[in-house]
Amino acid sequence: MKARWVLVACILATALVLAQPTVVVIPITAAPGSVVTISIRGQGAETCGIEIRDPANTLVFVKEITLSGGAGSVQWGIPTDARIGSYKVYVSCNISGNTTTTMTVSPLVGGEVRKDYTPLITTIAVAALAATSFILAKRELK
Amino acid sequence: MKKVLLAAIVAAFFASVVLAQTTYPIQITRVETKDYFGNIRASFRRGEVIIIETEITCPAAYYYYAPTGVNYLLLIPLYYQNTMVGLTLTRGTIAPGETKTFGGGIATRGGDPTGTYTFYVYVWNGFPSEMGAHWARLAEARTGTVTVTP
Repeated sequence: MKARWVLVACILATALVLAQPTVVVIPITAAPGSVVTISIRGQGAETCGIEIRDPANTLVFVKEITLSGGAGSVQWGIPTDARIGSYKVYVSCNISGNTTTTMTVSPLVGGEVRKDYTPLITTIAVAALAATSFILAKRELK
Repeated sequence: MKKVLLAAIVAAFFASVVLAQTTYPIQITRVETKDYFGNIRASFRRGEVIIIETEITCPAAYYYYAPTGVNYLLLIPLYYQNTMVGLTLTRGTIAPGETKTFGGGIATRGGDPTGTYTFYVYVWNGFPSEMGAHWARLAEARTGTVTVTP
């Protein structure tokens, strides 16, 4: 019986020591000017510090959050002139410990969608050239 | 009897964790926004410098826990919506019974959006990237807003 209590106490202590907050960044790749959400799952109503550093190790975001029911989230608006590359997200909580993750800021890909008329114009040009050649060849034969 | 003792130890451990969360060695006693001339203002034109002045104290009773003082990192980030547009910070040590004042300036730029900006005053024992699992906040955070006009 005593051994069971000791085991329970050891499991609790181990769980507290080994616990780490779970951090999810959505989206994991984002463009300058967009907003990412950093969700944290820790323990109870603990306080967490969040720090984001850009590829040049410059601090670009710092915030404190108090979790509710072991969960919480913050939003980061990526500046429009943000550096392109890999960003480190550091999260430290006063009970569940710390974790580090990365996210990527990549340039906006894509743009205006327009119909490409090049094949049509090329076909008409080739047909016109062929017709002209045919007419000229016919005249020469006469 | 032993079960009761063990349960009491586990309860005391969790109580200490909870108490550690709610008791802070530093208190932020004053937060003011000022202009370059020291006038208290909450509205700034684009291009002006917003000075955020804070006063912190360490209660004398904290002497029993840290007689040599508490090392701290004081951070004041300024946000427009979710984007951090400026930051001012300082590091120092505060002794029990001592009061310290810090004023940091954040410049607004000509092209910055107008509207409400939010600042936070955090007192931590260091950055999460430095402290890792030993990170802790040392004071209840404070917040405030300023308005930026054209």
